[in-house]
Amino acid sequence: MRDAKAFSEYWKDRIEYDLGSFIDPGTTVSVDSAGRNLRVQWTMHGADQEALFSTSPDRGVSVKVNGNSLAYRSFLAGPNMADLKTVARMVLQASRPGLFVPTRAEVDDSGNMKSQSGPAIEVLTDLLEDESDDATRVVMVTGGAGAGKTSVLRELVRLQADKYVRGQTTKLLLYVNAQGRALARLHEALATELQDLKVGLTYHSVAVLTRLGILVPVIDGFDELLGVSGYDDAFSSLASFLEELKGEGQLLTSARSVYYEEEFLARADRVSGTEEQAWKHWPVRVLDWEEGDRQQYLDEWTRREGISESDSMNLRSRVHVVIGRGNQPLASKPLFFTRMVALLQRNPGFSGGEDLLRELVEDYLNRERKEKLLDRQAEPLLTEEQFERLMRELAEEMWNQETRELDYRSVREVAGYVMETEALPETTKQIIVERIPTLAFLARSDGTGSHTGVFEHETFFFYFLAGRIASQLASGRDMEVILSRSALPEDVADRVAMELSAQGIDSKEGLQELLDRLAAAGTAEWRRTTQVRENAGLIVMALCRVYARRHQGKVDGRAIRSVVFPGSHLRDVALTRCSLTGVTVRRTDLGATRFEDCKADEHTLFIEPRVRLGSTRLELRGLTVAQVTGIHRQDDGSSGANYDPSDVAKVLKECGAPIPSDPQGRSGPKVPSEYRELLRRLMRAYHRANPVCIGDQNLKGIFDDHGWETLERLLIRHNLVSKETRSTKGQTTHFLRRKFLPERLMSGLNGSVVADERIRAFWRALELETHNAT
Amino acid sequence: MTIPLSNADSFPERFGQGLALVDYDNVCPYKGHSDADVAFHTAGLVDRLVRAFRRVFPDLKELDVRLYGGWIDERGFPSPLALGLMKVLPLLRGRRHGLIVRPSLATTLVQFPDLILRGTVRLLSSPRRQKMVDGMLGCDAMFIAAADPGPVGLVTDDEDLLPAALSAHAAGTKPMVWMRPRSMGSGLNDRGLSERGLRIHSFEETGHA
Repeated sequence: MRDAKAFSEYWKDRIEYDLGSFIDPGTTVSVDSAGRNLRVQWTMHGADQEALFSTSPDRGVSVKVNGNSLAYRSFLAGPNMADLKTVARMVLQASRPGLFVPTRAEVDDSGNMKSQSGPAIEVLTDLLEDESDDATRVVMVTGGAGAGKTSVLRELVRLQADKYVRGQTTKLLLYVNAQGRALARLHEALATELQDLKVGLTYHSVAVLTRLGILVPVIDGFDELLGVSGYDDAFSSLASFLEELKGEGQLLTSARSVYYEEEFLARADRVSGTEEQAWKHWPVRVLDWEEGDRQQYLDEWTRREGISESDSMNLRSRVHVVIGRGNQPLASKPLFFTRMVALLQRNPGFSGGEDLLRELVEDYLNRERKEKLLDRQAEPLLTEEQFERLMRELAEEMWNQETRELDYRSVREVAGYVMETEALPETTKQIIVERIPTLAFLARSDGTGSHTGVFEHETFFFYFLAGRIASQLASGRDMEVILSRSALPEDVADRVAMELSAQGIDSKEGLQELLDRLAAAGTAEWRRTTQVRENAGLIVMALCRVYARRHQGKVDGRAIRSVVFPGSHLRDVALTRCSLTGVTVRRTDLGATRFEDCKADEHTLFIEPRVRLGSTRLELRGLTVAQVTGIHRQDDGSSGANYDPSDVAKVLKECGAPIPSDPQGRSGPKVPSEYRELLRRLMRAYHRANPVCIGDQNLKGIFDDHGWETLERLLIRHNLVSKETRSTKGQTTHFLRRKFLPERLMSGLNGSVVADERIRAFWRALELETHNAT
Repeated sequence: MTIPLSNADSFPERFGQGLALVDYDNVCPYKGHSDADVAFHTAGLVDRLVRAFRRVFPDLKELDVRLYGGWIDERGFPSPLALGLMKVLPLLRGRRHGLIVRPSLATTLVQFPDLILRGTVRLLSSPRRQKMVDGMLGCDAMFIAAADPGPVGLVTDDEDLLPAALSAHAAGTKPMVWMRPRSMGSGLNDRGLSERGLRIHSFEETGHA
């Protein structure tokens, strides 16, 4: 039985804190306690308020206010406080009904060594309904552009709001659009969203309601916050929000790439000032459409459009032909497939071509150009090239402004500039500038008569931006600033490489010249150097992939310098006789990559590369174990990287790396393998959660191991782990919080490369104790 | 007064990216209460800054504006003024007078962007007061002077920041300007600062006091 006094004291502080987020600025919450009862007074919207709170370890917390008795959560959600029912109604009002295209998703439950897949809405609903975690549940949804993340999240939010209004749930989701709005931090995204919804909630009260489990923020496009503010700012704003949740509640975020998810996990704890955050990570991947999904969509769509059976059969056969022309990857994205189907139906002559995206964009552009931008004789005012140039300039302006949405003043300014440089007559210029708000492809109205310029889907923005970057790269102009803006989407890098390849400048010499220009962009040190190098690295990888596809899978004799490979992949690429100089490879998928007869200089680093024994080849002369921080094998079912230098060396050798059997400089401690294994398992647990719960049944194998007592004692003594007792919902649970990055600890086995004295001392002590014991 | 960003005929594009470090309360003493007041005064401030920077650095293409103030309270919550600004700042980002402008709240030091500093405003003390704000501004000026290639403007009329401005100017290799509402010559140390190369620019010179 829980201690009634401690329970009451916990809730006294908690109620004061929670109500503090609703009160008028400069006022305080006054609490008079009498045993288990608390009389609380506060000022809200200029009026004095009072309520009586009763706390009981068995019955929880109830509130008597205005003659009514309510559970604590109902009180805070109710009309006098957060008024979540009104918020739900506003969410429903703001939701635009449309054809929702179902998408599947997979949740990786690596704690239980299994993954589950199903309709994305169901997967996410199940995750949000389960409140069994002892820490804040952070659900991260990843999927590429056009994969349907936003549709799924918006539909999920809409459905939940509908249930909330009907009284079928007590948990409301709050959609926070962080995509392309020039937002610098999560605080801003939340404040902007709450303002858009026109509800009275504040940033603080969102955190309080989230902590109580009655509100779940859904942050769509978290990775896009990285642009304006950079990684550290964006991650710290999410981490500080997590800290406010104090290990309770749930949060759902989405990003285009798993890379950002892992970057967050790696950095999340570094930014915690008070060590109050406690989270558990649940990765969800939105899956590509398969044949069954496409057929289901076609069934529904043709029925809705009233298409006859014979026309439907004809349409299906044309769809099949288009997909068969090498368009499978795009057709696996709901966005493209649905657009393609609409286009095939509308235009009997459309055949998809070999570049489906280009065909789709050109179709859109031509419709707009021929239907809306006409002169008095009904002739188009602009040529295809002029119109495409206008779109590219707008995309570049968005990129430069680090937004996806231009105010109309900017749109007009760019349009005016393009028309002027195209030497078009003044009358034409005026007509174009005036009609831009009518272009469905670009314009958006906010419902108040004010227009903004935004591409209908980010993929179209990516397309035009890639065109701009490709032409700048081909022309030899300085790439430094254009690559410094924000994290370049992988789709843009792929498109840049495709465009350059289509221009025929991916010859052997041409490729080297492009690699050199990209390297030069990241040479100077300034505040955006990291971003430049990462974006340059993404393009380098895309160029290598495209080049390899055209040259029997090989990139031969090239020099790659001064870039960072941020995640992504080099699938089906064999780099032969290539050199890597000052290249950082971070979590890049090298599972089907071969470095043959290559060399790496001492400044080249590999951080948790993904490898697969048998298909990864790492013949890199000059590479040492010290340059490889962790290695992630894709073929042994492990969910994380292994940082033990001896294991890293073993995997490197098996991948063909010419490293010495006993790497020079390795003078690390000799620790028995069972202790290393125990630490490895602990590191895997820490990869998903921090702190870890000692009572977690999935981690029983670690904490029941006979070697654990020694390890725990030494980890605590060397300040690498701290033991803490946390009160969640008034109950106490025991946790172990890590105070280091997992990769740093395991790298300590290689005594020569770790600077942190705490870690060196820990390994020395462990060596001594285990040696004495044996 | 105009300052070329480089003597070379062509200079790296990044030199065209300037930074304004703004002592918000000092140059935009906010007296209103509503979000509309915050929006109005801040938009006016950003507009004045853009004009001033364009005048002083004619080659400038972009301007990051870091606003320093009491943004985070003792509990780690954004202050009411910070909340108001969070709503308005995204709307002020964009192209203004030909310059791409990105205003943001400085809640961390440039050197340590992953650490949000708590308690830059003490809401529970009477009267409310700011803490650390001048220190943050001065430290950032010093750090940026040594690390960043673009032009920097320290925007304040608070002479507490004079030593930091002078040290930052001496530490850097780039143009640094002290911007303030008062005109050149009205400060006790203006002559000494000028003799050591620190430029002082008044908003008055742009005609927008």
